[in-house]
Amino acid sequence: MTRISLSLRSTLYYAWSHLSVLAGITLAVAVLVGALLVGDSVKETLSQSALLRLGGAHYALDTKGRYVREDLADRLQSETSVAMAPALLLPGVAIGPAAKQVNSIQIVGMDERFRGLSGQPGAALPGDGIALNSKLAGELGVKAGDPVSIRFSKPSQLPRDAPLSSRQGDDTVRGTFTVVAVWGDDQLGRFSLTANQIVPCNAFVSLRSLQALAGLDGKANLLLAAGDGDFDAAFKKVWRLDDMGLAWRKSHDYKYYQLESDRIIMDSAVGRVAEGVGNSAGALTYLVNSISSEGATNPRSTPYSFILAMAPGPGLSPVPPGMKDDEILVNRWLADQLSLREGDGVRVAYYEFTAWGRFVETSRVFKVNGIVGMEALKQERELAPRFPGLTDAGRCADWDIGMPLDAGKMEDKANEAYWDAYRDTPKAIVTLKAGQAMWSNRFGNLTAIRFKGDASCLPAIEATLRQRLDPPELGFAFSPVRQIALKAAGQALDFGQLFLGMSLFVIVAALMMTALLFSFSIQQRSRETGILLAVGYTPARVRWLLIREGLWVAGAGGLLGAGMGTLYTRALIWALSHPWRGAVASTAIRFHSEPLTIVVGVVAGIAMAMIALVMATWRQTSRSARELLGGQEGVFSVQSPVSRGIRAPVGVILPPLGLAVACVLVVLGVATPLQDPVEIFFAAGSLLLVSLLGLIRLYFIRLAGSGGRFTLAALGIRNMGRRRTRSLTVVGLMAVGCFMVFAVSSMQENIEKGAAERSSGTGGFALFGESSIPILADLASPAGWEKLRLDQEPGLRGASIVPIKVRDGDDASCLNLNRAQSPRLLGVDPVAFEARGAFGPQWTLLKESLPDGCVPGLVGDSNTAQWGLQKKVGRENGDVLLYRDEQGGTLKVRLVGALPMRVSVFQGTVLIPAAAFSERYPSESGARMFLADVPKGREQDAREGLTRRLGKLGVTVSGTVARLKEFHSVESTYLAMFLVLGGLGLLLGSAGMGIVVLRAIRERRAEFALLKAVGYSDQQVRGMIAGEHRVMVALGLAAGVVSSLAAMWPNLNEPGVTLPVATMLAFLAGITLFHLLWIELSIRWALRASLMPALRNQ
Amino acid sequence: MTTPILSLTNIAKSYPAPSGGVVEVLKSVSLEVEAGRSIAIVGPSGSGKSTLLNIIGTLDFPSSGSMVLEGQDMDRLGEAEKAAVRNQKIGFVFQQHYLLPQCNVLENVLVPTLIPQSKALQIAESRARDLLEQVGLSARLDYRPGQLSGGEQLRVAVVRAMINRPRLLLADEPTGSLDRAGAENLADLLVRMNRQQGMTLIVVTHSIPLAQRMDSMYSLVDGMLIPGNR
Repeated sequence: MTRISLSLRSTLYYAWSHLSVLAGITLAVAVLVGALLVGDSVKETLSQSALLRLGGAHYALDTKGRYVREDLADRLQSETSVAMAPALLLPGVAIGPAAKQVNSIQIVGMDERFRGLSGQPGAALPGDGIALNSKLAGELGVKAGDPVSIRFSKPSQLPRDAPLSSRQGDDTVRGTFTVVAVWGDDQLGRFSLTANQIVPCNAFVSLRSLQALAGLDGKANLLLAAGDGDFDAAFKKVWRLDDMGLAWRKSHDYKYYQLESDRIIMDSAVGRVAEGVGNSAGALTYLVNSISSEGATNPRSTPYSFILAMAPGPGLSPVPPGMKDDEILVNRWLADQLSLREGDGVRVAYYEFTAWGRFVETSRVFKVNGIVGMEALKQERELAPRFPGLTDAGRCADWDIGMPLDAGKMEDKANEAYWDAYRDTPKAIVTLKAGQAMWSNRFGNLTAIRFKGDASCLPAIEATLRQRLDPPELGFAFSPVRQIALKAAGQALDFGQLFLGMSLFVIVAALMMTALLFSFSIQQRSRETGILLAVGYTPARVRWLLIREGLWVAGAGGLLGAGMGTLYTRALIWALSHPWRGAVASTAIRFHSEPLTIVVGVVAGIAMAMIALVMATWRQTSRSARELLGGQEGVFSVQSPVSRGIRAPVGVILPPLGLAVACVLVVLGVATPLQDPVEIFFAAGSLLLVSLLGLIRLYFIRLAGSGGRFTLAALGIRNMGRRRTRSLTVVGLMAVGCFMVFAVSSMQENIEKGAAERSSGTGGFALFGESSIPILADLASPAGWEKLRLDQEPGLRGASIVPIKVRDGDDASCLNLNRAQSPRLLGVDPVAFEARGAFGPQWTLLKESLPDGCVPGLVGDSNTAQWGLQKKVGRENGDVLLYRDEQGGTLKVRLVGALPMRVSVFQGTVLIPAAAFSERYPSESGARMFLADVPKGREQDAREGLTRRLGKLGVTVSGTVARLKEFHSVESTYLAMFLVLGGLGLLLGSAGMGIVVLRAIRERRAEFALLKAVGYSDQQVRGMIAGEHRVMVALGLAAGVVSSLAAMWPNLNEPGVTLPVATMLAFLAGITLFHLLWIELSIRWALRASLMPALRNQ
Repeated sequence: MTTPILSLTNIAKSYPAPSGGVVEVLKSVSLEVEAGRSIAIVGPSGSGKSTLLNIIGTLDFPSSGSMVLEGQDMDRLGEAEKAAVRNQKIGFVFQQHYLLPQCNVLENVLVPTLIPQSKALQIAESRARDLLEQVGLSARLDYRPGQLSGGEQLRVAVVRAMINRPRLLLADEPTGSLDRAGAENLADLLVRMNRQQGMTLIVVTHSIPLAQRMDSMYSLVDGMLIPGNR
């Protein structure tokens, strides 16, 4: 026999006794492992979701508002040997039978190459066929064979709110298809480039059909690569000018060629590169409001005229060398019309273009440098930019150019005659520098570049342009979408740690019960411990023998706990799919376990259990062999712990001192305004709790001595002092559990209270709107309302709207489990919010220029900053987010602050000034989000009116409070989870009370037998035992409730917080009843047999 | 005169009383025991006999006085050294057998040998078997304590106390829980072990017949040790 075999033998012999210890350890390990496995499951679900979203796509070129040639995919594939799939991705709405409309859908024009990415190749969709993903099919309530229409904003090469762009009343396109299939997740049904586990609504049509519908034949705005490679380098090798929408036009005499963009206004990067190539000259054509004679006795004017601005260039430009920037050439017609001669003054009035597409008229004066004959300008007419809605218009009155036009001036007969004769021949010419100073905008500052030479020069010029132009500068850059998606999933909120934190009380309760039960079993074997000491074992050796027994049990508990842990995980996942689905935005979490997680959980659980067992063993083996052999209890040992405890200053002085400090903190907190009252009051409550437990301990010590009233009840209560540690463990568990549950309950916020205030998360706005299709009309102006016919809605009388620009990105709100890599950007007008005093005073931060060139940004609310982005905010040292803008450059957004509330309607987004937004993302036309102020009581009418007028644009209007509730549901679900798990810990503690009662009765059977022998009835004995334990329950609950009141104090006075008094009282009653029930059941069980045999053994 | 194996000088033991003051259990007890001798200590209940034995067996400490065992002053020893003394030099037989219920007879006897300083297990096991044969338990080696009679249990306890060849064997009311026949058998065993193994034997007992079988007898009265039976 060896010491190891002795400990194993002992473990097996006392197996029944160790069973309860095993149960405690198993429970602790199960909860620990289970909580960690929830983290694994969530991570794996998000990773799988990311892979399902993308299928086989590793890289993507998302050109957003631009369109490349579809055959670029073939060229790239040849260059890289990686399969490429082109697609056309457009946001829109879907309309099913009975006009049921689903907004915010993705319309994907694709072919069999796209389907190949799913790993399940299939035939191309028929031209009139549409495939829906399960979610969209479900929301529309359609199946194969049903008709479905899609509507989207008609794509325009020229951004819709660019100057001179066409803005017809109906900018949308509608197409009707027949459902041919409903695609599941494994067929790329949930395709999306955004890192979000929420399944989008997708509609798939054939690429050809969508191209035809959108007027984008042979074009695509998305290229997907089914593998890895240096795609940007390959792009640089294979791209052509027409991939960037660049094309040549030749002069009628073939002496020069003009490079133009299908976006009309040329990207600044192209202009920058091209102007330096060969013999070239840039040109900018603009439509001005009027040209008037300046300083004349009888001033005359002509409306709505084209002016050409060009750099001088022999053979290229009509601008003579040496012409100054304040000089102007006028054509013969204009000179005659305004009676102009060389040297006369001319005033040019034109619109400046602002971020919101608003037009501000301004003017500039020039001196006539010369007069050009109409014949000389014939070439200019041929090479004038082709503005949609203008160039092909029959009459001036038919022009549709998105600028405010005076109807009277449009009818100007002379101008009409000019249009008939000369069309868009420029009436005047200025230098390019002057023109760019007046008409440069965020879209660009050139409409053409001319190159001198014949056709034989073009290849060389093209080669030079291709070499010098960097495609990313024009927004053509591949993203490693697969890598980004997996990173977002990997950095998601760690649900393992979250549940571990929430389950901590259960784990601690289980371990404390384990330690208690192990102590009991060692106490039971005190004589065995004594004999080992007597035969020469040192206390350390005896401890080690017992600890080794504990190790066997802990090991077995760890293994069992690992298995049970997976069941706990499955239970938690079930809860996350049902009552707690709000915590995961209704995402279907799938169970997944990593072996390493289980090992870590088991090892950590065993380690914690061993700490508890070692502490229990130490106490029990610190007594002498004589005491152990004699079966003497510690309280009667030589040195009374009464005097030892009282002499110890820590135990005597600190509790009342702590109590005093806690009271002072509470009084100070009530009397003075604090910046972070919640933290201070919580600290005060915690200190109060610890101090109260210390005072209870002193009370137990005092009880252990003799003296005081000598009644049966007093006799029972005095017994609490005999096993102080045991009693204090039970009282402490109850107190801590109550404290946590009550303090957390008080954090429940009533989101509706105070929601109408400007300082709340709604900003005082009543309605929140989002649209799939941009709203081009200015929602903040009467003209915009008139255009959208909002002024005809009675429900909107007295209402006002603040429009917001949107650049799609990752949702950084609590509804997205993935970590946002590139958060959604909103372009806002700070003045509009500042004027209303909405959301707080931080809007001034957006009006400041930062010295480092960063754009200031506000985080949508403090929860987003802290949890969604995990970034710090501050004017000086706020974190910087990097975005790619449309010019391929880097937009640096410094997070100078956050909206002060925890939850706002802007959760998950970053707000930047609209001017900066439009400058960097010029093709993001119009607004896709808005907030509406509505007179009280008219919210429903206003909502209906907005839906009626804007529904065609896929606008969804909801109440701002409803939006807050959606975000808040996540937080309130977390609170509910914490309460349930905390409550479980308390229930466990109540079971511990039952075990303590059973144990106490067993130890004192002889004592109770003696009481009965001297004449006390069964009822009196039971009452004594029950009374003693009921006092423990009362002490624990009182300590917990009183200290939680201190922690709750700030929330009691918080406007938005409503204390769930009924819930808390019900909880208190329930826990009390549970404890009393356990006490009663344990007494009945333990005293069911006769006590008299216990006397015979004495 | 040979050097005594055990020498107690003015041993006193007192406890604090709950109402204040002290309770003197032993007052200035002095005793010298020669090696190989057997002595009995008798006295009424509560006289401090077990207290004295516990002090001799280093299970308790005196309030004052000194104890020397084989020339070693016990006051100077730390707890680990005292444990080693208990393991190597002292054997203790209690009124209750205190056998480990999870071990069989042979294993219970070998419990003191699991400490590293003890003899090698094989040697110890051989000695254990011999001793158990001597006490008539060779057929019970695999029996658990619950399967033995009271007398058999005590014989196992005696063998356990002797396994490491202690110089001093202490027995505290060894026959207290036995019937007459069992008590006689155990007395015979103790005396035989004393004679054959040469170990010094100190027995605390109420039993006059047992006490009379020892070489000398002392009475503990009013905390004082007095030679003879009073």
